[in-house]
Amino acid sequence: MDRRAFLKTQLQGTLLLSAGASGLLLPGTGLAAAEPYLGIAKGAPASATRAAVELLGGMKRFVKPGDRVVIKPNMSFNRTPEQASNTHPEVVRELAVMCREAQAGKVFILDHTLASARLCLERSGILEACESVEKDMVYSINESHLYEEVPIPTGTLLTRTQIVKEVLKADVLIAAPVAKSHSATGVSLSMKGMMGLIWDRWIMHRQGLDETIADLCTVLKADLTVIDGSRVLSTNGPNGPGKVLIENTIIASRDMVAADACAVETFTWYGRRFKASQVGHIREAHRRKLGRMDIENLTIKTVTV
Amino acid sequence: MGFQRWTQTFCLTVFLGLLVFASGDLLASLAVDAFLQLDPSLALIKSISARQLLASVIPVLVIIILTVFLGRFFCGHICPMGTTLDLADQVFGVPYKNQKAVPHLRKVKYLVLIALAAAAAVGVDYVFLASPLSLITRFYGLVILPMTRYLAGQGHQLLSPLWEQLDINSLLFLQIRPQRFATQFFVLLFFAGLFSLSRITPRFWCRYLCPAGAILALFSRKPLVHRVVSDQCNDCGKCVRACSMGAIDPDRPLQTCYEDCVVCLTCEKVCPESAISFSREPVPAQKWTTATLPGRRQFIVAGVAGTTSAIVGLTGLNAALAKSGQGQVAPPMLIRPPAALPEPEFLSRCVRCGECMVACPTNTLQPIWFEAGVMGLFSPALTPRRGFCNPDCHRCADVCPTEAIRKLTPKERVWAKTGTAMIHRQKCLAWEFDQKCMVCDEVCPFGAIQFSREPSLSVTVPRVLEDKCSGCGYCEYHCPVQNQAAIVVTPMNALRLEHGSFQQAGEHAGLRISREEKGPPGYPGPDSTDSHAPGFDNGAAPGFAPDKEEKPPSAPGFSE
Repeated sequence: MDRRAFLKTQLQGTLLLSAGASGLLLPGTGLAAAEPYLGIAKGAPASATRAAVELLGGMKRFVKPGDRVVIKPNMSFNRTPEQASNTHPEVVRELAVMCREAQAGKVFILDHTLASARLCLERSGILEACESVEKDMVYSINESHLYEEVPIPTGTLLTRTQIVKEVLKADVLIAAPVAKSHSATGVSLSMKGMMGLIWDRWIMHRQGLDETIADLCTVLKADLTVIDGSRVLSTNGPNGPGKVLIENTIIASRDMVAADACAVETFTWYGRRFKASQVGHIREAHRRKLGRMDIENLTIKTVTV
Repeated sequence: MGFQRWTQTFCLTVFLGLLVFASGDLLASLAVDAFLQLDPSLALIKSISARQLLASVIPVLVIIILTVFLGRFFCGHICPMGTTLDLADQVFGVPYKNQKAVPHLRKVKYLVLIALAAAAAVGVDYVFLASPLSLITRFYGLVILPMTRYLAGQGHQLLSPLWEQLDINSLLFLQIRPQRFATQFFVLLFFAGLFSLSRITPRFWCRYLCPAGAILALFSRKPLVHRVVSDQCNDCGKCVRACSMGAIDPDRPLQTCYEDCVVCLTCEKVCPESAISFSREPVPAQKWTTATLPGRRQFIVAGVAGTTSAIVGLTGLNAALAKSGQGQVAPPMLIRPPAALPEPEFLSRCVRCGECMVACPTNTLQPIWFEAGVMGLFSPALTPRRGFCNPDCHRCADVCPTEAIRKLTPKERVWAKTGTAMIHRQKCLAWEFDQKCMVCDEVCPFGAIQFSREPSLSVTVPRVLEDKCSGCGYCEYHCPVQNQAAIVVTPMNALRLEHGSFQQAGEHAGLRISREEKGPPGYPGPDSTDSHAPGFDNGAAPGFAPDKEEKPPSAPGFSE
């Protein structure tokens, strides 16, 4: 799939979602009504990950045989799994296994690390965990030639950006962030995590994070979002060290905004509860109808495994 | 290929291999600085200037003892500078009849050595300007290796359609880390100059200038195994023309200037009469036509010149003196590698070979120009805008041949504070432009950025907790403000210890450098009644226009 086709599909997806968000295709009234809008599973990281995706109909719903899949976890920090700055290695591993089971052609686990790539990949435990699934799957993309500049047709501030070429080629994008706080944007979840697939993140800080994160998510829209709330970095995120809550919760949705909103309202941040609407970029994405943050109006199914 | 070509090829390959190894992503456990440890001029001058015998004195003594037996075999077979100059001679050299040997320059190398030693005696170290191993390591490390990396990277990119066709992950995602260095044009020009001397004579440097060669020459005035010419010699002069060192008397080919013979054995090979051999046979007493050692007057002049230049250096505005404090003018942003010795000791130890810069995985270590005066030329400095200094990494210390950067345990290494970050509030996106940012907090491995609220601003703003900051430069490297970052590392409160524990010294100084805990949160405090948490909006967000269809305080898209 080339860039043009990719963007076209993304655009179609956005339109479809806008239709959904505007109520034309409200879950429960639409065609594919069997699955909930949000799946929440409680349990050990790997089994809860599988259960949450099963709630949405299983990985086969998202990955077709032969598809190229990119999984975007958080593995940008030189921290151990207990510190909750990175996605739990077993969550990432389980997603990779499920993609393999769905007969994906290629599976990549990619991020653009902030600290030294090798240390991040190793200390996060993700490299080791995924080596057992397949060799040569986990990469940090830290050189600019592996990025390609694309337009963001509906961007308000961010109208062009450079995206990892492999992501542009991919058929399926899975966001697999850890649930964590962020000192600038409140939380860093699937939408904020998309900044790990572009080259120049800093321009977004200069232009305004809330708007540009929403801009970015018009082109980097995950087909499946799986939020790792096995541990939650509740304070001092995104790097930490901070207060880590053991929540044993995995949240999955087709809608990044809804998954992020659900995570905001499910966990406590700095010892308090917040509404999703108190997070600027989530509110902005909702306003632009990239997804829904009004989770009280969405179907949620919870299982414990 | 003769014996010498084999040994030279072998030694140059090992030298370059070690350099590549040092620059690789693997942790350097091999002695990548092995060749630097063999340079007699470094060992001697450094020992004088640092006032203590360096460890490399031992390998150098071995070389010297062998020189007494074998002559300057080091120059002819081992030294990568000699081999490189031999290669340059093959490319740029001229036929013998066009060469212009200047035999009376032979003594210059001793004068260079004397001047360097005299300067070192006053405590100033200029040996990096003339040590062959320092020069050649800098040349290959800072000029040739980065070029090679660049070309390899470009080549890989050029072939990227092929990698995509093959769809092999490791090739698709191969990332050749580019290295860039300051001062490389100067190094290149210097070597262009050295190479162009091939137009005058081969190995001009080794014959006339090299201080390491001078030391070895002193010990090879009568080597045990030496060039012997039998009476079969018919004065054809082939050996004279072939000798790259001009060590054979043009008028009397029986005579050898042993000080300058690098035992390359070329003369033995080219002799049509097989009259030349290297053996222990005694040779008749010789008288070389021109004096090879400097006279007493020249000796004194060189010594005075060295001392003078040292004192001029010491009276330079930027001279780093033993006692730091008031009146010291140091470059405002000069940040030394973690655990670099106190500045005067550091400068007298550092050989400016560039190994640390070659080995630095983030390319943050750069040679400096004249910021710290001539005495600081080519010494390494952290350049956080280019790269951060990883607290888990101490490759610079691993590869340093003279321990100008102390080797530390990983736990101690974390405490080797290189400086303190400072925020330029007028450039800061949060402080000045009221933008959500906090990248400095995001990337700080030590939790040394505190976020706080300012009454006049809607976003949280960063402050540096000086006692938690290690000066690693993650913040400066990642700061989204272009060109000069809004948060910069300054040398303030860097720990520079000659002895003792960094952790103890740090704790004693009240530092709390740790990656396990964050400093006390500035905002919101543990008992704060304020409902803000960093990054969250309280109800209707500032700067967010209330939607007309839905009234505040509920956010747009919500129904009450």
